[in-house]
Amino acid sequence: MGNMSLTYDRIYLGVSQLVWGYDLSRADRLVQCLDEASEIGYEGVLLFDSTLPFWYNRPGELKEMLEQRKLKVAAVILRPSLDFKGTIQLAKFVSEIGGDRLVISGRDGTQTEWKISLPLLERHGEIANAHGLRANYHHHTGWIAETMEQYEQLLADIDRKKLGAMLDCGHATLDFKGHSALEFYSKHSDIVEYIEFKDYSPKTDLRTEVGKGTCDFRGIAKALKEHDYKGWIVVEQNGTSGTPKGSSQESYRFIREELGLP
Amino acid sequence: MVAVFYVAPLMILMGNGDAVMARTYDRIRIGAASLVWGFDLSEQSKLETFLDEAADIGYEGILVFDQTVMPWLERPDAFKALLKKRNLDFVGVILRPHMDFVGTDKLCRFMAAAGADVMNISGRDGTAAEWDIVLPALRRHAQIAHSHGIRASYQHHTDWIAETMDQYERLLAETDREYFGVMTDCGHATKDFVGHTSQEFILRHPELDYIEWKDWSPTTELNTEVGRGVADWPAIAAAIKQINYKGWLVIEQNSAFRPAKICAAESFHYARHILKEAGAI
Repeated sequence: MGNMSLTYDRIYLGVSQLVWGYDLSRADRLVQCLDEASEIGYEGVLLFDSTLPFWYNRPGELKEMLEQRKLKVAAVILRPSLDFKGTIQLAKFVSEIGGDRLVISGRDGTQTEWKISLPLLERHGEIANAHGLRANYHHHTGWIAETMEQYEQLLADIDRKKLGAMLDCGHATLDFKGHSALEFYSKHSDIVEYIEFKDYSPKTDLRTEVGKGTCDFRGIAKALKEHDYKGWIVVEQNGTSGTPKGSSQESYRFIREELGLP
Repeated sequence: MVAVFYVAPLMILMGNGDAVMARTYDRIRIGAASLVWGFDLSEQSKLETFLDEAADIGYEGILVFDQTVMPWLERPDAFKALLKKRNLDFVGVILRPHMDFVGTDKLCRFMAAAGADVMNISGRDGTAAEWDIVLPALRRHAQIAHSHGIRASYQHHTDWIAETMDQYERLLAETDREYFGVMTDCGHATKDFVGHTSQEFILRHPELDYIEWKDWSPTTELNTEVGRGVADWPAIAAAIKQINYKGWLVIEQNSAFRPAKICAAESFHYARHILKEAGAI
């Protein structure tokens, strides 16, 4: 217990499976995602909890598949529930395949349930901790912490030894009304442990390649350099009108060439 | 068919001004749980097979899983029509509890519009270590049901937070009868209430709101037709008679080695026979 934030020597650039699809529980679909992510040059992948049960009895195989492609597990998304035994099983498995982070993101009630949901979210974080993982709460449209004010309140109310902060630039652009992703990062750079690069535009919503939406990524890149951010930046897109590989490649190129990251 | 009978409708004024009626019953009504037909009946043809066969056997109502009604959430009238066509009433829905309270609100809105009575909360919900943080979530699901006029209860179950009789009675002691009902599953009681019996629990809880008849045997587990396992059905029926239970009695079986309809018919006729013998129906 007491596993605080993880430390990294530099920025790592990863990509979320979501660009390839929500349900990659079929092995061939996961393999395609891993192949393409690795071909583009990403160093890691963000996976959903639902992708993993297929591999629960063979962590070695999945670990080898990742290693062959020089990919790390950037993080695993846990949709929080009351199934704490399920979280134990997931956390054990994530640690076995070399992962070190759970991102808690899923339907978790409304403001009315604030006092009911927060201890449950913390408990998931505590279980992650007990298995050597760090957990972060993902602010999100429709989740209990959607606006910047709500997310700041959540971060103030929870025990951050159990649950840390992150920033999703796309959701911040969409949901932090009257604020911005850059403002949140500048204000909380000391506690942001994990970042998702997702873009938003009124036309393509969160199905936008990084750099094509309205998020101020140039400002964010500058702030990350100023504050010497070290850790994962994970590219995510809620689906695409192009191909997953094409879109992920475009985002990768923008981040490396235009923003000069990592 | 006798319609659900309202005894002195109790008007409860909700915060938003809506009046919700608490439902009472004048007799025992036997319903069918969908589980023996399969866990996932979200495909309409599977659902209709279940409804056809349950109605043919003589069941008066049906209980389904939350996921079965997901395709119908915005069309409660269409779902209700499927039941009405077969003279079936809507007993209710099994809610696998989670943290999606908005989802529970939507589900209960559907249930109220489609005429359901019962929401049985049954699903993975942690361990003894999470008792104090899980109970508020379970209570909240029940409160949401209550605000829609649906009676919620908690299903004691192998591996859920309340498995043994002691655990279940503690849960009942820590929840409010105003919006959180008492149910019992005779199969799980027979299997999990180690050192106690199903009939013992019933006699200790005359306030019982809802009951499921399921049988258990060491060889066929909970895949057992009612009457073929080790539950003491004459004693259970006598206990039900003694507490003067009125309301839904739902028959369930986890799965079967014969066609669902044959198993569900056998259980139905056995249950009626035993209940008649005891003078409960």
